[in-house]
Amino acid sequence: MKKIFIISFILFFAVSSNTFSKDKGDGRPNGGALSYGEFGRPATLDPITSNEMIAVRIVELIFNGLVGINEKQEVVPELADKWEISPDNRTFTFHLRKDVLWHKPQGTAEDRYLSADDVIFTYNIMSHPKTITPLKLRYEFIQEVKKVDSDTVQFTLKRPILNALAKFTFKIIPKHGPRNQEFLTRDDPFVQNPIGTGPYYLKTVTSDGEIVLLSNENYFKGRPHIDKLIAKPFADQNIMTQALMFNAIDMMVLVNPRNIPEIEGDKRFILYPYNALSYSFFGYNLKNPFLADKKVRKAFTYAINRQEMLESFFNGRGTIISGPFAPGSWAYNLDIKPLPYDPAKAKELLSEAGFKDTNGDGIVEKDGKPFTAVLKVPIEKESEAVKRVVLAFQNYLKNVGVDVKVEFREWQAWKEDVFAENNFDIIFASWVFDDSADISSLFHSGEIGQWKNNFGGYSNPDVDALIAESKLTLDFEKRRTINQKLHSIIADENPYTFLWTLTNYAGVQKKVRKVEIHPYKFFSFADEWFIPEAEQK
Amino acid sequence: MKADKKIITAFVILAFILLVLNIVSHAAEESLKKAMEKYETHRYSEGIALLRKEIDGRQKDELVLPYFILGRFYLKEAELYRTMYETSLMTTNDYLIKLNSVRTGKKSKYLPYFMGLLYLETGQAKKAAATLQQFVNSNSVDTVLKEKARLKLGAAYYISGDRKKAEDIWAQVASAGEDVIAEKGYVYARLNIKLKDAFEMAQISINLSQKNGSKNHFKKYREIVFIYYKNDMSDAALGLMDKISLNEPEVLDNVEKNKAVRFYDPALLNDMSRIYYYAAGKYFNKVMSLRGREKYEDLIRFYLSEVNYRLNRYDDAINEINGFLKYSKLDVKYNKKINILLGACYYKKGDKKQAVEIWDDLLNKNLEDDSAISALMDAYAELNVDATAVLKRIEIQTASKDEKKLKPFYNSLGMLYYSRKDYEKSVQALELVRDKANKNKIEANDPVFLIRLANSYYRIKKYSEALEIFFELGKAYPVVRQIQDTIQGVYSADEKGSGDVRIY
Repeated sequence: MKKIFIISFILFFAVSSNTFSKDKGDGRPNGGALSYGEFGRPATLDPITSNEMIAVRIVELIFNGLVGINEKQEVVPELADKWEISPDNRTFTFHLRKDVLWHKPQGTAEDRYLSADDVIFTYNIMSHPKTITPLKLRYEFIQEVKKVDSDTVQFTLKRPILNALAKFTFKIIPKHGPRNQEFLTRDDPFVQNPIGTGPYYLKTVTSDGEIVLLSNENYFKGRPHIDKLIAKPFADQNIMTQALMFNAIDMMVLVNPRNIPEIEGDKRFILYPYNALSYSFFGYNLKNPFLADKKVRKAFTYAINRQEMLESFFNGRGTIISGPFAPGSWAYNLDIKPLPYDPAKAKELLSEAGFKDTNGDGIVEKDGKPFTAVLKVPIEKESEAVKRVVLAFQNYLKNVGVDVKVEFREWQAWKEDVFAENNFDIIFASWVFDDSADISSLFHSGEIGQWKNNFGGYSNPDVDALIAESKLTLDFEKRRTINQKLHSIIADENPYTFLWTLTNYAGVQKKVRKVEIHPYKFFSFADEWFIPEAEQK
Repeated sequence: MKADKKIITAFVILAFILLVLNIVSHAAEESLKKAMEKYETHRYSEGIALLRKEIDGRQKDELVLPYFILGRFYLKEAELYRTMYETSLMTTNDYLIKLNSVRTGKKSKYLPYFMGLLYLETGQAKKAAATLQQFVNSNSVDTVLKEKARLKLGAAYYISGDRKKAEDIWAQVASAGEDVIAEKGYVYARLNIKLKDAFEMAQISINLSQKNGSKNHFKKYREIVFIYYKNDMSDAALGLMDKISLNEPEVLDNVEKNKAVRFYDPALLNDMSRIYYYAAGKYFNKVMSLRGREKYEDLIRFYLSEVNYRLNRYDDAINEINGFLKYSKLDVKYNKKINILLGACYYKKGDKKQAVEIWDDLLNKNLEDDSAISALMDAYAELNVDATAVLKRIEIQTASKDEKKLKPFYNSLGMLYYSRKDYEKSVQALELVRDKANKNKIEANDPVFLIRLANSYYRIKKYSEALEIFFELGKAYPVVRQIQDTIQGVYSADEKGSGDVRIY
């Protein structure tokens, strides 16, 4: 009798599990694992405090927004299954799905469903003055949010804004998630143990820093096909490439341009182009009185041979840029050409700025102080190529009389130096943008401060005014003109020396099918990817 | 002794002459070699410039090869501009619609004019008339453009069949300024009427600008070159080609503070394509009039048939093709390709039955000839012909999963999918052709192919991929600026970003 009871219980449980597991019903097989290489480890795994691309990709797998954007650039339902917009375009009422379950942390049995309280909680915590997040500026246009009922939320905007509905893709976090119910900091356990509604949930972070995600059987769009995703950190991109070639990983989100021919020629892999709107740059700290002078910064741009660096270190696989947008962006000002390599001009500008080599040691001085600058570089990402770039930069500047000392820093330490303490003279890094081409957080004077993106302290009232106007206008062509003007001013002022946009490809094992990559978020459609049964590990 | 000295001197002089001739000959070959390098790296306009300079210094009997190569360059350039034109029509249409749909802020007063031009280009004469009339009626636009609009309005009525109204409208054109006169001649040339009058107007316009000392607007040169081309004045037309600036907007409208809109004449790329086809034909025919042409005759007939086809001279093309099929000693692959073109000629003339018969016969006899099948697919794609039979064959290849067998088809397959509006599949197929290590470089990828890939990306709204392609193309072909501006405009209207930016 006891045996029958146990067997019945087991059978019942199995049937129940299958009943509650939502299959996509598209006929494609479930199963298999996909591991991919990442450039280091993210500091946090939540959508509020994170400010790096590694985290963006992970967050895309774990969380959802009220709406999503599909492959056709259409706004589609996500956590909200329908919405209304008032005629004056200021009130957005979202009706939430009733079948969205939060991931269950280990040891929890209770099912918790998404509700309006979670949406309001997310907005409040995002807006709290003590929450350090890049989202505050982006969502300043929201005046208030209110709960209409347990499944309905209403946002009121301060003013109508361009493409407003698309802005509601920000990720929703659970009220029961963070320990602190008012504001979110990096000390909160939630940022390391996120709870979301997405196709994958965080299983564990191993001692090696591998982030293991498992498929969410209860995902409201149907469970994703691939059972397990593993993000493996690599300090060196060359080692990552070797890991791909030796089947230690299945995918690289960004192939080093130098390795493209090798991977393209290998029948095991497919290269998927995706236009991440990104560029690399040397950024200057304008609190340094030497670098505060525009002539000096411009001199630096003239002093370096960007084309030569691109050819030598990346086999020419990229494009030199002239300003703060990628060439694939709608905002790029096609009339502004990159400054030429002209070391003579660089020396002339330095001289005009008051720098002279009075003691003949090859280093220029001003007011008795030699021109020495510290260049801080994060050691992850394309570490070999990065090293070559910064050493070349150092050499070019030496030729015009500027002594640059290079310091390689571990990623988190580098971010502390740059964003928290502004403890640098020059940095080398890259930005990546979504389609909005929004540079306001980079160059608006209101974004100077701890953990804010205007780490160089750049301030120009004309730029501030243009940015403000671009946010107010509802005319897409006016916004484009404004951005072109911003491009022109910023190119002239050189708060950065803009370098290049590199050729972007993801390298993926052929076994992974139906791969569609979001140009910014990467994994937006990963729940549809699948591995044929015969090829599942 | 004296006689010996004379013989030695003569010998030395002769040796020197031979040496110089050899150097010149060698140098001449070097120039042609450099030009061919430009051909291989798809830098056609640079190659054309090299060759035209080279030709100036040559004797008549040394011109066969340079003329032949120049003809090939112009043919490639023509194909490239034709492809750009197709793209520009698509992106300009979308862009102007978006501009017109703006409900807040000021609209450009020039919008009706350029919408009218677009409607004219796309054969929508009635719509063109309506929007151009709107522009002519407005008070706030400059006189010269208004008169040009009046001329185009007349053209719209002429195309619609109301020739009397067209003449009445043209008679109302007030201005006798050099730009309006040139425009009038251009409109006549475009309509293929009163070509002699058009030529006279071109001359009057040039004389007036010389008299006034005015700087000729780039657009006027293009119009005058077109008039010369239509009057079959090849040397005059080709002589002015270099003066045409191709990347400037026709109008830059500062609509209001911080809103500037660039408008381009949608006919520009079509005109340039036709002029380049014409130039190709001219140079091929020049070869045919020279001694030493024999080894190029077959190929020239082959290319001339395409030139005539592209210039809508279908009967001339058919004659050329028949001559080729009768006399050619070239490899049979040329016969197959020219038969495909023959079918296309009949198709364009309206004899679709004849066309399909030719193609079906070719398909059935050449099932194993990948090159012929690809060429057939290209024709189907361009003419929007039902390609079910061909695709079925390709699907058999797909089922066999033999990738090597599929490779020759990827380009054509991509275009076929594009013609069937299956843009996702088009991208997938074309991506397999792309040299990924040199992603958008024209040295490694045919620019016509790149534009087609960009079109496919544009259609699936991956605008940034398309813009990246045109950014690279723009370095060698600044004329794509009009495409870049319109894609940027469409993209900025469509984008669904949330304002995110991250460091890495």
